[in-house]
Amino acid sequence: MIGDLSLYREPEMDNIYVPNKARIKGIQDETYDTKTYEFEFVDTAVKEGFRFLPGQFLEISVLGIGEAPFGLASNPNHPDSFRVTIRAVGSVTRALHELKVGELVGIRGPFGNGFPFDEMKGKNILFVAGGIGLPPLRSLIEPMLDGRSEFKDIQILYGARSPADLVYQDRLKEWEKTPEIRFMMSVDVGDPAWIGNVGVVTTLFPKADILTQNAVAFVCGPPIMIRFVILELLGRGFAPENIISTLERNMKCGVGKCGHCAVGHKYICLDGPVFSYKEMMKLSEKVV
Amino acid sequence: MEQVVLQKSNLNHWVELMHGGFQVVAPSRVHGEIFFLPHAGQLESDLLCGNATLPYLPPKDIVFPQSETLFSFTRDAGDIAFSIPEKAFERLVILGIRSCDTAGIHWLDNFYLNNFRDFYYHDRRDNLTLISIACNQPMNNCFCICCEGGPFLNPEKAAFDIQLVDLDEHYLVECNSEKGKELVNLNRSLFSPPDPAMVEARDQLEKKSHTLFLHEPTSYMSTAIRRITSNSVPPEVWTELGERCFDDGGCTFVCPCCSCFGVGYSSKGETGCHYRFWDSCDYSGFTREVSGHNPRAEKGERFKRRFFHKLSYQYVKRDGRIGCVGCGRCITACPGEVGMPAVVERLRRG
Amino acid sequence: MVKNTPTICSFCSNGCGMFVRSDGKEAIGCLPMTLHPVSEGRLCHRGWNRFQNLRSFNRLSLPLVREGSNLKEVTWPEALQKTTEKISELLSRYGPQSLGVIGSPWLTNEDNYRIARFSRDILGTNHLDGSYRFSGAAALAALNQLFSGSFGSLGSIPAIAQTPTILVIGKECCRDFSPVGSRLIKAFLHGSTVILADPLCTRKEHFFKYLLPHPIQSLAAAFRDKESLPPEVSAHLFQPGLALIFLADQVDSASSLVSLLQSLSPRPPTENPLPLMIPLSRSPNLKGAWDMGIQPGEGGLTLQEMLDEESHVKGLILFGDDLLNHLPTSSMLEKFKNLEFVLVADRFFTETARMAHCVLPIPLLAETRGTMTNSEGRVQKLRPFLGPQKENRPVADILYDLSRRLGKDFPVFSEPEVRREISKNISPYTKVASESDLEEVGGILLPAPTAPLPCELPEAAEQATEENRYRLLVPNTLYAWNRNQMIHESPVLRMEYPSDRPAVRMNPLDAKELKIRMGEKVKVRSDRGETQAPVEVDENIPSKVLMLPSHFVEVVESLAGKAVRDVTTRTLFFPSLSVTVEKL
Repeated sequence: MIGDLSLYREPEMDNIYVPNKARIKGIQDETYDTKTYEFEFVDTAVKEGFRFLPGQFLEISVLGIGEAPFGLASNPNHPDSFRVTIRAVGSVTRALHELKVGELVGIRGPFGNGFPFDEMKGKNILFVAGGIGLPPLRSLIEPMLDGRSEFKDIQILYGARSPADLVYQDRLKEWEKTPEIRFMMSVDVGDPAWIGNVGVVTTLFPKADILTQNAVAFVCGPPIMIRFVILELLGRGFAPENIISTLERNMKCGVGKCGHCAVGHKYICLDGPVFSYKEMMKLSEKVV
Repeated sequence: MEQVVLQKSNLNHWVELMHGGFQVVAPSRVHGEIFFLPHAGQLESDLLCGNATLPYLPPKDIVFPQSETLFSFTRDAGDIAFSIPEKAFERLVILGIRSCDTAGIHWLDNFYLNNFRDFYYHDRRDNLTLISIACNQPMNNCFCICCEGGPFLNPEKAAFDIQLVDLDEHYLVECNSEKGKELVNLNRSLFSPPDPAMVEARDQLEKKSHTLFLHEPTSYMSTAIRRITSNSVPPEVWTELGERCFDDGGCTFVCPCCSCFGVGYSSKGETGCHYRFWDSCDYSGFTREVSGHNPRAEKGERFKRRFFHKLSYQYVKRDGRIGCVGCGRCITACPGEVGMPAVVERLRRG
Repeated sequence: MVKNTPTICSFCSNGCGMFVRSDGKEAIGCLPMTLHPVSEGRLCHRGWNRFQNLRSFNRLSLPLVREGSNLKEVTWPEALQKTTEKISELLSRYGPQSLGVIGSPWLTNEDNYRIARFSRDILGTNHLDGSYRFSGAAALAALNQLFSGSFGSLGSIPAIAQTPTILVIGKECCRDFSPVGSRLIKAFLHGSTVILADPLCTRKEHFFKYLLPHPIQSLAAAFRDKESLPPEVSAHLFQPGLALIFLADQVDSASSLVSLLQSLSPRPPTENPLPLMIPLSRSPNLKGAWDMGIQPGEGGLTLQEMLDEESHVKGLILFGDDLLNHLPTSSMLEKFKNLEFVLVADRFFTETARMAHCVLPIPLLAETRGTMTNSEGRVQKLRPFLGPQKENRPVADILYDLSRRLGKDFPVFSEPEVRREISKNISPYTKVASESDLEEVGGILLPAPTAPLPCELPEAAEQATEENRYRLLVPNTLYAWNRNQMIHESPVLRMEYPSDRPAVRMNPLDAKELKIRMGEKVKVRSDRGETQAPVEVDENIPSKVLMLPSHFVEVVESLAGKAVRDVTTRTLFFPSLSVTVEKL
């Protein structure tokens, strides 16, 4: 029981645990279990001051039900219309899926270290995404496309379980058509209408003409996919420091205090979630 | 650092003076246990002398309580209002905390006040003054000397407010901070400057207590630290130790240097709250994800993880000190007899 | 500041002494008691996190009365009036034998004693029982038979540490009941021999010296047939100084426990004829509720008989128990759903409460006065950490109010007065009238029983396993904790006891042989029926053994057909079956 509410006070601005209120501005169905949400902060100062780096995440709460971390999935150059893509797997995400446009959630963040960006200029960039791994990578792909001339070749390889599991289908069509990037897709299991590649995403590698010189690879997806993709990339000559991925763990606070996301001597929420494969190898616990 | 002398018979009077601006808690026996309770009337002087006595829970409970509400919310016509609990106390003095527990609080300070300052911890810690008592005599389970946790606090290494040294009829009051000075200034006439014999006696006591506390070589922990840092402990050892761990979390809760917490969410009707509570990395659910996947499913893995956090050099670099102060509480709290000394012993054996 | 209230934990039958810490408004923490003989400064993960369920928002705060398919919040007088009307109606139409009363091992001794008197003296029915009929009654009935009546203490937990040989039946007794586990380890460190008997375990921890693959049902046969035991094991087991630790909830037939104890007793009559025994339970007051008489009176029906399709029971009055979690057959569940009147007095809005016609909120054990009897036969006092709350009413007040409305006199006695009654009427409890003894840490240990008389009981024969067949075990497993509401209300504990899926668990080598992957469905066939279920691979399960937790009632029933009846306990159980397994 809360008890006597008169014994409470207003939260201070620097209280990292009290969320900011945000309304759901728009909901887009991506697949049968995934939706993309656009949020808008209620407080104008917060709304105008909000900025994030590609690869950072937010702690979004359905008040009284729970809170979970979600990677930002939209272009950091447009922070006023930030989006996350959420798949319903547990009680918090299921509760989120029940909410409608206009309802309130709590948002804390952005937290995490983010992807390296400026250091990528002048390099060949390879993105390998599996399933729900595409949303966080999108926060890096979009600003790269905004400043396209600063990067050399950009290639995206995307795999999902089935055609019904592909997210951002409209954007994928655009990527297929544009000459700015090389884009290939695959599904583990096809359907009668599917005419593209069938097989796990690594089956695209022999056909993809991957550039390995002066190149950096960003890999996001289920742990088992990451493991196999990294093996492929190492086999093709990518150095461990040039393979960049994200680690996921159970999180509660997002600010390096609750201890849940600690792996070895790093905290995923403070020192990650972005790590190079070289850093992952140095952790005292096996992660990939 | 300033040194003054207080006659033991004046301790009560000094504490009474503090009541003007502070709440004071001191060790008291209730139901056969020692707790830090608000001072009311008589102080229990046998709990405030050079013989080590420890309450079951370390005073980390005062700055980082076993559970606390983070914020409560009320829905009203499509909007939500947040509020946080009132300050726990305006100003608090903990009288009779021991060197190991003070070192534990400093560990927590480094963890909670840096890198995203924890609001609730800061709210409490900022208004806290610690009057520590040095231990001349150990208790059964003490091993602070192996962990830089005592038995005396070193003013050059530890930032403490006040340290009292028991000199029979007197306390030598060592004042090492502004907060400490503030308390002494309540009434300077209670204190007298020390004579050289007293300072000499104090140094002798410290030397003597070292010999009493030392039942293993000071490098006791270092073999274990080395082996853990280099990840060279065979996995069978962790499995065997893990078999003796009952996943109860007791060691985590009684440890002055353990700080992990979980968050709970409640709501009913239009109101609700988010609260946090002590959590333990011993628990299998600590890392289990919604999908059911658990990166530390094996008991031995979790056990290894906890000791990595406590003893590895990687964490010493991060936290500023080893994650153990040698208070010995984990020995009492562990059902499987795998508290810190037992584990260190096992790791030394190899 | 924090107030520390010394009381006893209410999760299981260990009865650990602990402090509930509160800020005056709600529970904010828990601490073990250093001086308590059972906890000795330690708690298990349930005890350490007990405060979380005490601050839950999901408590019932007002009585509820059914209107159509909904339960509506009403005032206390309305709810009690409605209850009285329904009870009177059933009494006048069908007579007192149409009513059944269920007490609970989640209530104090005093409350159970009052409930027994209420059902006898006020309602006039002999149909009185507890949910432990299916998980614990068989063990207690067996012990009653052995000691020709009620028994006091069969051993103390601290004494385990000094016992030369300890037989632990079920790994759960060690891992999940840590006061016992810690004494096992102390004993091991002092050179005792600790033996584990668990059919669902392939690897023993290093402090167990031997691992016997027998469930409690077939241990007696294994001991008698000394050929099947390694000689070292027999040597240890049949010497003086034995402790026996088992989970009473998992004993499904009285005869199996009696046979086991008889087979362990071929000792010289001058020695202590029976081992030190600790019957553990996942309920805190199994022994207390049983001793207070929550059992059918003369000619009365057990819970299982009350919910038989043919029984004449039309109304059930339940106190303090989430009954639906304990019913082993779907026909019992059907009967329950079709009763004319169900009154549930409980703390949370449980599954059972959802089906009731009237729901009354009662205090948690952490908020009540009274005593409980733990698995050592130790009677200990509870102390409430909060004063009385207006949202709920003690069981005593409810019974008094209902009796008054029914036109009868039910005396209002305080807890000490009820204890005086108990000390006069219930034989091993003579000393509980001493309030000063009860105030001591560790309460009152009931007296040890006098030597048992040998007795013969019919024994269920163990089916031999033929080639290509698997032995299917249907135990009352650790997952039972997941159905405990107090566990659900704690964010930590619900992760420690996750829910399981209705799946058959098998050894990875067997799965490989049958070419089955995790999650794939198999058809399991016994000579009584068949079922389909997905497979979970578990390397703890030995080869050629399958495990199906007993609470997946539909799956279990389709295989076992009708359950087997235990005559002594008057319950049903599902024995282990010989089955075949095919990939679908």
